[in-house]
Amino acid sequence: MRRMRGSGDIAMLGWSLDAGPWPAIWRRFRRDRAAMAGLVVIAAIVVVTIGAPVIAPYPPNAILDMVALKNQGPSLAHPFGTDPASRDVLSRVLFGGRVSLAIAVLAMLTATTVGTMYGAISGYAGGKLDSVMMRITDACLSIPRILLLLTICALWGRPSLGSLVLILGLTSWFGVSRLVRGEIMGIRTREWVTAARALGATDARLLFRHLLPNIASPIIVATALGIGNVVLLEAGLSFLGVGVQPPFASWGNIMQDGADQVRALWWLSVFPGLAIVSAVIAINAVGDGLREAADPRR
Amino acid sequence: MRAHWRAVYGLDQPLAVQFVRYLASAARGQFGYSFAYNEPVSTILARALPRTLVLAGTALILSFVAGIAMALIQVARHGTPTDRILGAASLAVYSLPEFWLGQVALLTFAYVLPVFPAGGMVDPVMHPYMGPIAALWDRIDHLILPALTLAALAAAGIARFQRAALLDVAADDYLRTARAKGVPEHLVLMRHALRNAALPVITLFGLALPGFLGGTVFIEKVFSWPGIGSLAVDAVTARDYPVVIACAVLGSMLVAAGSFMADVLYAVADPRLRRAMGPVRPR
Amino acid sequence: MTTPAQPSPARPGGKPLLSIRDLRTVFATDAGLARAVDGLTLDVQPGETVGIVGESGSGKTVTALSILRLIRAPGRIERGSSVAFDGNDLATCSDESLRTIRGRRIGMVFQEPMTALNPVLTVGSQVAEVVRVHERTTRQAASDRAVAMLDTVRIPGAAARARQYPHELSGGTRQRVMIAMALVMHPGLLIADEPTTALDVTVQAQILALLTELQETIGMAVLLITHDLAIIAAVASRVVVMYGGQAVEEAPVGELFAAAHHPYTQGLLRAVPRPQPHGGHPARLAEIPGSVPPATAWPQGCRFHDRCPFAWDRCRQEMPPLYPLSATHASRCHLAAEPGRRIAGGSPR
Repeated sequence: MRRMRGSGDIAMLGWSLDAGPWPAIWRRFRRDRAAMAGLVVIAAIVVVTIGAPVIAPYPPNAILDMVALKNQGPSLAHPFGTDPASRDVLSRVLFGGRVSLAIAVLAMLTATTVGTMYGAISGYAGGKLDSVMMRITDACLSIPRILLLLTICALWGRPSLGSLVLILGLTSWFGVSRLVRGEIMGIRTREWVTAARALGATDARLLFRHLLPNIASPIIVATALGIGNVVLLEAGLSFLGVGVQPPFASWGNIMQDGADQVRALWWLSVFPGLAIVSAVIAINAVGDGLREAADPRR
Repeated sequence: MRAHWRAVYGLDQPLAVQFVRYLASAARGQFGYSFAYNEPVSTILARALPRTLVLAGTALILSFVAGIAMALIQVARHGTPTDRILGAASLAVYSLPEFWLGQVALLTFAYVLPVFPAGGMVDPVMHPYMGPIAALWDRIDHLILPALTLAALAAAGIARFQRAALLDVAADDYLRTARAKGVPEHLVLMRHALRNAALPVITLFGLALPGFLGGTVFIEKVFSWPGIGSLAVDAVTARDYPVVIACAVLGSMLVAAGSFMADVLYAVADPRLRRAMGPVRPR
Repeated sequence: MTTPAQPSPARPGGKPLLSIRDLRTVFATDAGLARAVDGLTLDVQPGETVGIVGESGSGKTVTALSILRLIRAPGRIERGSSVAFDGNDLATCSDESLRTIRGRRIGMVFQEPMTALNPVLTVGSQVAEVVRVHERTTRQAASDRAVAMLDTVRIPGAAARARQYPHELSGGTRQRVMIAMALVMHPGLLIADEPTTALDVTVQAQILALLTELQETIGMAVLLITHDLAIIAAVASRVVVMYGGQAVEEAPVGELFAAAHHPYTQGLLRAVPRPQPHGGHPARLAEIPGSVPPATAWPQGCRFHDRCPFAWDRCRQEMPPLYPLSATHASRCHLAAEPGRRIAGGSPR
């Protein structure tokens, strides 16, 4: 017979933890229609961009016809139009998707790894080390990210894709570290931690096997939402010319080509923009859904 | 030749010395000399800063008002279609890139429906000849679109955050006590829930500032608003490093000031943070 | 299974102040529909003190909240329930009527005063709020009444305290503030949900004494909800024992302690630890075996049957009604119909 947790009659509605948190989380996530829709959209975008070499009608950098096809609006042959260098925008959007999404995911994974390590150490150690580490993070957090990125990219010259991942990743971990530190501090005084330590667990083991798995859900949510944020940042940087450099296409730098003539070359702004918007909305919807599923509010 | 210019710019000193000298001058308000404009950077900054403050300040107020209002509506109608629609709307707007939204807004309201001017701070031709009222209106006219665009994005983020904060508070017992006392529902929301949910928003204000100032960068570029943001972008393109770095530093200082204000506000709002100054507390 | 609503047999005559009939409150959970309160019928006479006793999961807190319709989604009070108070049915009346009754005609005190008080408002303003919400008075007048009430609940230095915040006060003082809030409008009924559970034992006694004194002064009825039998013994005149969302025994307090009928009540009474005289080895705590079933899956038949030492087939199949044992004592147990089955040491399952 299942035992009900919690004291008090209201708490008797509490969730049973018999099967571990994940099945329940998935069940609740499944019921969130917006989140499921987001998941479908992301899956579609990922499939389409991975299949870009097969799907795209032209290679992304193929200069098709210097004169006749320059700056053409959408047509049957070129559903998204062509750009000032006579390249097919649809193909560029498809290939650009791979670049933008890959950069965002890799950068955020870097950020989460670094941030989690930093935050865990800071939160676990406490005391002076924690104060110093958090002061550093706070200082970093107070620089407006765009300005920081602009400065770095300006000084860097023309960053390669790998460098861009590093730059974006190493500027995105501050928030994660604060989050992890807060969570670690919240649970390190719990009884079961003391018990584990009494049974001889070393600090490292405690951290990895016990504490981190328990705070996995907020970290995952923050990572998901962070990916959306990095997509926007990369798009912004590429738009300004300091992000993804030619010959690579990214959603942002396609838009750059049309930035000065927004009215005349509207297809250069609208289509990549729609791609960014749908991807980010979907990512955020999934992130929201995860957060609600992991920590339901009645 | 090169050696001469290097000496002029102090680039022949060791790196550490350069850094310290930079900090010292920055503290005194001197950020070096701009390559591109041939003026001291501080002069350029002083010109651009008020313009950004006007834009950002207006947008900040608008966004907080709109964001909190939307969150209140959503929570009052929690679970109804209104809540879901507003929630979806704020999610969508929150996910938009600032520069894209700016371009779309520009396209729609300045070109397709010529309601607002297409950028700039004032009418480039007519402004010096306008009377005071007309000149003021001209400024406002140019301010509306960029400020609204910037505010819309920020409002979406604020609404999302505040809705979550309100829902957290909504589970709190003192709301139940208030209802048990016969307090009407609208007062329960405004007097009890909001007062407590406002605390995280004040924190949010401090935390959101960096992102907010970052957003102004794109908006200023798209709407040709000659503030710190446009300055930074143009400087990056021109590789005018002193200006770029100075903008970053200035941005951080603005954020620090804002966070400080937020901390003070928070202490005022949350009596738990005020130290008990009276005599020994009774048990 | 449901039983037809029966008026409480323990009615000393006269029109009851509060009359609950067949109250059913349910919660929609992930794991199914939880029937927290499943057919409760209860009367409270003006001026009397009724105690509701039960363990966690019995439905007593939900009952208290249901009276004032403080149950929020995913919970709801099912149709057919009625809570008659002074001519209104609180379960179905309009929101506005309910609002005028809450705080003014019925006061409620909650269990955990730290979370039940708004941390960012002074306690004085929270007490004054009750006055201002129900009467048109000036701010100053309401504030004065609040301070007077804080004085009545024996908070020393009431005027200065009124300007303080909840976190600056001790637990006992906070609970006094809650009582002040509940009673400042001199209601006819006070519902107290575990008012002393969160407090030290010495403070408990003070609070209970205060409640009794105020009850006499104001002349109100008290519905006291608790799991602590000692409090019931000290304060209540009539007791209702709840289990499984239902009343399983009702009796005047003396009779309950002297001659409890329902096996659950007997188990509760036995489980009170008693010191042995003169250093004898303390007897092993007599517990009731098993645990409370989940509210989403009440067993068929008598809800206590799987923990009851006397249960037989009838108990497993048929939900016992509230058998009246006398004009004032009722028990929801088939032993009332078949007393011969009460054999010692029967098997529980």
